[in-house]
Amino acid sequence: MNNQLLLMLAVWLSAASPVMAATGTYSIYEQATRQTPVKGIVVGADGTPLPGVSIKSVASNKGTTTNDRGEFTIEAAPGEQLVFTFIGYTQQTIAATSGTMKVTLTSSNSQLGEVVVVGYGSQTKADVTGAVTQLKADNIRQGAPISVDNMLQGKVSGVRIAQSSGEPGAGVDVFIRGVGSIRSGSTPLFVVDGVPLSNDNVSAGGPDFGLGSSEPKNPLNFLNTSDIETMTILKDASAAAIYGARGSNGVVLITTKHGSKGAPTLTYDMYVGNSQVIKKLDVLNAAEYRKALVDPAYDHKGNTDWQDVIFRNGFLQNHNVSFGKTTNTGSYLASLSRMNQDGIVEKSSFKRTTARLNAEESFLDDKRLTVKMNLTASDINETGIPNGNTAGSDGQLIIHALMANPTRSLRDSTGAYTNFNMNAHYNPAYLLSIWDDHTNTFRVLGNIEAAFRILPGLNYRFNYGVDKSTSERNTTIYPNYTDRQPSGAYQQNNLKSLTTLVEHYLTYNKSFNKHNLELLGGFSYQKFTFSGTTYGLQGIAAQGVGVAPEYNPGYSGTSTTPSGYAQENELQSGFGRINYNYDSRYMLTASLRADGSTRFGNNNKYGYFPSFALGWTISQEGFMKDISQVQDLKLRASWGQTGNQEVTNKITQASYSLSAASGYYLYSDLNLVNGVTVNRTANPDLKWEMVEQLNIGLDFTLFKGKLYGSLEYYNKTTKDPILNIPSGPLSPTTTVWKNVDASIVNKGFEFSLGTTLVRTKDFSWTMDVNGSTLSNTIKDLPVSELYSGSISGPGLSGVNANIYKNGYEAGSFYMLKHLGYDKDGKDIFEDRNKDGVINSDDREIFQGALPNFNFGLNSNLRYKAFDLGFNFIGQTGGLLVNNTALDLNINSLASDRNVLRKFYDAGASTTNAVQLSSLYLEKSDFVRLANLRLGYTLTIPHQDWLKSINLYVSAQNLWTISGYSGYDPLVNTTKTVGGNQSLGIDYTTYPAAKTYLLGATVKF
Amino acid sequence: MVSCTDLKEKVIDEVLGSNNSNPENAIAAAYGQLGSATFVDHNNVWGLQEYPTNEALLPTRGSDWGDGGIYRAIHEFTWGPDNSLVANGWNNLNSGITKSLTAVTSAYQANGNTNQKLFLAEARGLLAFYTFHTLDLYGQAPYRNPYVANAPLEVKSADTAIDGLIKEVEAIIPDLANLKEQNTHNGRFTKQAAYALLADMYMNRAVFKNRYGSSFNFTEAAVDGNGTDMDKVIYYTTQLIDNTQFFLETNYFRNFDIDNNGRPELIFVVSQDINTSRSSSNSIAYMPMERNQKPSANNRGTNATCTTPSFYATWDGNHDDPRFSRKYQYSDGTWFKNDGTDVSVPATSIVANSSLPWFHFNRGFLAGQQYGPILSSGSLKMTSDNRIAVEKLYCEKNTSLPVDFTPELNFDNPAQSVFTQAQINRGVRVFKFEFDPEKDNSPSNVDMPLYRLGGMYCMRAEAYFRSGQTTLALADINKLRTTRTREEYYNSTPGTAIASLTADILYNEIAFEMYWEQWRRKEAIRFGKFEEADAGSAKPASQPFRRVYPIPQSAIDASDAFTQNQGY
Repeated sequence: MNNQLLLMLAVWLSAASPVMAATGTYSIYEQATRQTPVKGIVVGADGTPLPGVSIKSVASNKGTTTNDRGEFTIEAAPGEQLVFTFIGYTQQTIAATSGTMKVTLTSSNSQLGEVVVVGYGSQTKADVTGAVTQLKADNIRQGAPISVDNMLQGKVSGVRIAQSSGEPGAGVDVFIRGVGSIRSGSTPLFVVDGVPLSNDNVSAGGPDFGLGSSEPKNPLNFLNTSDIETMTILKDASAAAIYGARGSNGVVLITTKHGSKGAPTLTYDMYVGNSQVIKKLDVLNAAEYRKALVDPAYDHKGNTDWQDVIFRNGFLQNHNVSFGKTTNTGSYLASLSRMNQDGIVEKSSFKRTTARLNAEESFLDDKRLTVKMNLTASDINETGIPNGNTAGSDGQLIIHALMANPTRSLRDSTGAYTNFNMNAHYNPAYLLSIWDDHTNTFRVLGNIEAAFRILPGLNYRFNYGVDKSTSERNTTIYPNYTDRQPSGAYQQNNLKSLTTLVEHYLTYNKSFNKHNLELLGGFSYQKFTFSGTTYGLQGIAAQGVGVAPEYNPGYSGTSTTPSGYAQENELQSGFGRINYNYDSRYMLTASLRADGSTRFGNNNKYGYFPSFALGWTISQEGFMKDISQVQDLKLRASWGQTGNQEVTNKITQASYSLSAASGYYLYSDLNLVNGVTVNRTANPDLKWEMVEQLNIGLDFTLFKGKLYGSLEYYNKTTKDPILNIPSGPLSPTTTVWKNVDASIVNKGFEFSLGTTLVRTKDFSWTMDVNGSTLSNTIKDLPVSELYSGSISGPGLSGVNANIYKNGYEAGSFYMLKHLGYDKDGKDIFEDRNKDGVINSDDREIFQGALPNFNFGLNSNLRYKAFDLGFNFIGQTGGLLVNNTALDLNINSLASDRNVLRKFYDAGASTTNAVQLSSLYLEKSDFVRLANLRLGYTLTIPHQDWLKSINLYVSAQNLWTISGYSGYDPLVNTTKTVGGNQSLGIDYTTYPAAKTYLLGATVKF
Repeated sequence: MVSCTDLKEKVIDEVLGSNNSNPENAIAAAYGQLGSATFVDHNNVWGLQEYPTNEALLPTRGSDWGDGGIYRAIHEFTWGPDNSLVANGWNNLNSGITKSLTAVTSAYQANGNTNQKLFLAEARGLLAFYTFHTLDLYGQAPYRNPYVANAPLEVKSADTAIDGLIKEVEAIIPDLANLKEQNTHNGRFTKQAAYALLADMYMNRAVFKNRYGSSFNFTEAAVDGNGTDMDKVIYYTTQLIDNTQFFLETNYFRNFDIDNNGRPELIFVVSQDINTSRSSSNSIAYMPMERNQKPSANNRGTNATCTTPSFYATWDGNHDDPRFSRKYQYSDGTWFKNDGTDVSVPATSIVANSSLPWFHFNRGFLAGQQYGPILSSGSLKMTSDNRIAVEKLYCEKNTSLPVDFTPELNFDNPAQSVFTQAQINRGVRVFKFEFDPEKDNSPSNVDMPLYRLGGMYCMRAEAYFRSGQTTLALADINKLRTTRTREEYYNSTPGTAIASLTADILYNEIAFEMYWEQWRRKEAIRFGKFEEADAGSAKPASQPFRRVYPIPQSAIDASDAFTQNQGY
């Protein structure tokens, strides 16, 4: 892997250096003597005027700042060097000209003065000692992301985003520095404006009517991506340990926008677009199928492309209006947005309305008291399709479409959808037609923060937040001629969740001589409640007859047993942090959080999570003064412990209940007598998973800011992982939740490098690349192995593809090795134990699902009013089980179903049995042009009311190079087996989309 | 707004309850475990007792039933500690032991409960029943003294534990109810169930004591020194054979009907009922049925299990035995002949709690081309006179492939029970249990017989035979043969007697009575047949260590209490 890293670096450096050499020559101007008022306007890369930019003449030392409209006037002679500085932007020195100057500042990643949001506060970039990356959302918002986590894709080293499905609003798997837990997902903690969110679902899942149950959607869908100001990713323990028992998967801090300085702004942005399936799978068409025919009866005389039947061009649009202002004492921002996305599969859609109000005002003498409120509400309406990822041998919509024999017709002679007359294989269009799935989710997140200055440097802060969601999902399968609920069924799933947060903390800042000290101490209490109900009907009225059950469940059918749940858990925590630096040269950070959780067992109520970090800004040392190539060089090291408390509620407590399900017909009247059910075995010792992490980092800015970036090494080891493991003999339950004495090691290198390749008045070109390596190993598992990754499809029940075993990567694969075909097209498998028989003893471990190298490349070009941005992402060194290909195996030809062309072309025999093997294990390597955007900024002269119009076209997922034969190599179907997560399984989920957009941003 | 909490977890959506529950609910749970897949689903004890024998196999059929080779492994004798059937059987039997122990403790402590004595005896009986099956299949079983709090875990070994188990069951007999007394029924562990279990334990005691031996001493002195093991088998089976509550059905298949509840031959059953609140299993009937054999428009089979040519061949010359097959007659007199001459059957038989016409397939062994109803727009195709049309059946996945159950398996690779798609209909199907179409394909009202009178005759015959009393053995076998009568289509002819008995004949005769009833593995081991290769199928010659299954890997991992069985 290191070779690949070096190669990347070398290629990048060689591309960068000549351009840098060419850019040093532009600033030679003759200095004139006569000073006259020079006028101009300063704008950002997108053409927005920048108020508050400071302008200083090098010669005269005179200075000024831009006004609300970004305009300035300064006494200077033409040719005189003017320095433009603005926080968060790269400083520029430009010669004054006699006409109206137009100066464009580009935002900078290397700016040491940049304020970085950290847990419970902020720091300047120069003082940060942890592995922290902050993104400005406006710079990375590309394409049509529904949720904020999608925006992290390819932007931050060590952060990998995989889709669990391409359905609009579907869940996203965020992996920060590998996989630290076998049991649960690797979702980081998201903190929005200081409120840590629960990772519980906020939308209701769908029922399983024999086509798999549908996953709840991404809980972050409620945030309007246009409202995001920054996203800060805390990767190492030093940065994340302040979030204690929730910090081990990393933390993503999200801040939302506030009014900008100067005159009130009104912004309207919108886009319209079209999305289509990222690619079609290469199955046989009707003519080819006839040629490949195994049995004349399989020629049904039609000609249908079944992928075309269910896929469509999905229209999407988004509108967002915001207005805001910052005054001397406060600010406000209000926004309203509406997004409609039609999915690329018929009948699926996502509609969202959001509203936000952020307000801040200061009171008392000299802003002694500051009160701030952030409030957002979102309403989401979705329609879904019968495509659950838990579908077993009988499949779901997409696989039915792929498997459908292309010689069948969509409709029969009567105009009705053709009845395939097969068990477990149905006309996909018919399946869609009998299905209705509507979900409404409403979520409000609000918090009030107050800060009170007690003494100079000593502040008391208070934060109170509420996060409330309700969701209702109505799913109906109408009476039909399949063997899935032939008499129809309906189910309503409801979900409610409420999180409240109360925090008090004190901060104290003191500087004396060259010592700078910052202290933080606080208390936090957060309570989560989570409840839901389910009820349903069977034997409902036919579709179109009478009233649909979601509108009046009393109209037809018989009720099924209702069920429900209600759970709560609490976290009570104390935390503290010391930041100390001497002369901005030597830095020390130490933090400690004590987290008490109701989820932990009685014997382990509180966990303590310490961290320490040291920083040394080498470039501040005297001996570095003369090294002109180095502007900034900082070495960081940190160590700390964080926790993972994402386990199910109640698992430390034993539970016995009386249930009919375990009862018996005890007496001669044969009435059912309830049995004692033991739901859980108590484990009062249960505690958090502990993650210990070492991080060494180097930040640098070289060649006068032309090249800047960071290098990191990390070793992140999960100890005491919680597993649901087989319980000992005569335990009342077959499994028990336990901390086991195993460890999961994730380690690797990360780099991010940025450069300005060209910067002239009319043309600028910036580029940054980031990459990360990952090596993951499981150690000391007390069991021989754990299986996960259940495979779906006919003849594949109970087959697991993933194995967790000591010495191997998490989510390695365990299967027969396919060596090819013999002369008759029969499969040849490796006989590993050389006993002459191929059976499960011949399985081999293949490593692994996690890519060993991930990278992103982001570049922006601006030429006059045009801007062009593109973004590549890629990964190597990972494997995926292509469960879709396995379901479209050669055997399908012998059973009246379609097959992937590659199996037919390979000459495989249709008599081959269905067998999971390395034939279906593919490399997930890819490079993708994830985003491409071309914009044009229109400034309309003499129209004072209109500041700017930016028009753009963009494309998402335009182009992918990959040997992977499924829809998308960047997919990770969410499944668990016995509580152990699956990794690297592509089970015919809703495929990803390719999207084209036309958008405009209008600023008034 | 300062909040402080003691972090006590509040549980608001369930009553945590306590272990010390009502003994009634504790014993219901111990019984309930019998019907929670353990003895009613093919993927559990049933599969472990049938798939390694020539009575049954579940081959891979085209794209179906590969399932990682777990089923084939049992038939091909390649199972290991990670086989999920091996684990399912272990986990479920262990749950049965655990729940029985809880029921023992609960009844033991329930002073004043009117049923205390009865429940305590029954809980002990169930504990013995689960333990016996665990020892039979795995050679070891866990135990913890239920009368002492926090007693240490013990592991019982088959060779040393069998005697204690026998004594335990003998000890509880006085406290057990007679069938139908004290509000009991044949789904309860009554005195009669105890006699049957004792007979079963004595029948297999020699095997338990010398599991890997080349021969077994069946005539060892009994536990109480009174006679031999075989004498005890004769004694206990006779208690049941002579009990007038029980008598042999003339219609053999009546024992396995949907409404077999309380039938006179059934001594101890798992009571099943189609009930939305608790599961039941139609698995034993569902598994052999082809997908396009549809009892109603809403049902189907799944084309999985079949029997082997060698077992089918044992019936040569016995196809007129009433236990071999039985045609169905509709209320208007129409017979379903299943020979190509049927045109239609009446649509007047209706699936319970629905309005769907119910087609009744014939019972017993189904070989050759099959006939039945077909679907038309989601309903059974009807004739113009509104009867269910009967047509030649074709495969659902391969619509030109007739549903022709050929007795020969002829695997492409003789060592692997794998069929290509074109071969998926091979193997004779066993429709012994009635398919319950009431609700989908999964649940069933059929009470699963664990001990029935036919089995008692078989055990007594075997015990007589092993004691040298061949005439008495032959009489019991002929009693079974001649009491059963064929359907009216064949003039209700009774079966015919046989003239002589050898070990091989007896081995077959027991299977004629007990096939498909989780009986065969034990029988094959006792008769020394278990190791033989099955020429017509994929079962190779095997080593004696396979007479017990391995302790599942998950159980070995979870505790150091168990030592893996030899050979694994």
